[in-house]
Amino acid sequence: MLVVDATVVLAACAADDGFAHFADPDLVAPPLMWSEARAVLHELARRGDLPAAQARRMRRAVDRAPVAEQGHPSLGETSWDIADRMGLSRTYAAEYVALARLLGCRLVTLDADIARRARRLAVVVGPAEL
Amino acid sequence: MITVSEAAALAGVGEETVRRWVRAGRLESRRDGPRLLLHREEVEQLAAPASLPLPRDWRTSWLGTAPDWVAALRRSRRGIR
Repeated sequence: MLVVDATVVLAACAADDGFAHFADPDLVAPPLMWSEARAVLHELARRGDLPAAQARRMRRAVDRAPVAEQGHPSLGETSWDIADRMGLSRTYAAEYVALARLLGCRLVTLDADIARRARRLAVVVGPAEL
Repeated sequence: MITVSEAAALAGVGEETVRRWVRAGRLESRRDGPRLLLHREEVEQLAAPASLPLPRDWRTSWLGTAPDWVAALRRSRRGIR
C-alpha cells in the first residue's frame, strides 16, 4: 500500500497511462486529496494557466484515478501533531504524512519540502524512486 | 515570523530578491511598523528545490506542457489567487 498526495495524482493523471508506473497497485489517499486536486485545477483554469477544457478533463481523470479514499479515526489528531513537528502552520500536507504513518506505509509526493520535513516521521519517497 | 534580512540569510539570496518575491505574491507578508514580516516556512519552501524528479514515463503529458503541480498546490493551500 502507498499513500499518494495531490501532486502525485495530478502528475500521474497528466501523463499517458501514468498509473502504470506504480508496481504496487494499492494506492490510497485521505479525502482531502480530491478536494486539493480539484482546487488546484480550478485555480489553474481561472488564472488562465490551463485551458478550461483540459482542467475539466483532468478533474474527471482525478475522479477516475485508481486511488482509494482512506480515512482513519486518529487522522485529525495525528495530522495536528505532525504539522507541529514538521513546522507547518497548516495541516494539509500533514494529513498525508499522518495517514502513511498510521497505516505503516510509504507516502509518495513530488513536494521536496514535504519530503524533507517529514523524513523523521514517515517514509516519504518521490515517484521516481519507486 | 521573520524579517526580510533574516529571510534573505535563510534563503541565501539578497534582501531585494526577498522583496521581489513579496511583490510577486510568492510570499505572504505583514507589516509591523516599518518592518516587513514573512512566514519562515514559506521562505524555506521558496529557497529549497520545489519538486522531486518526475519519473521518465511521466515527462510527456497529453496536456502538452504540464503545470508545476507542486507550485500550484502550494499556491492553492496559501489561498493566493
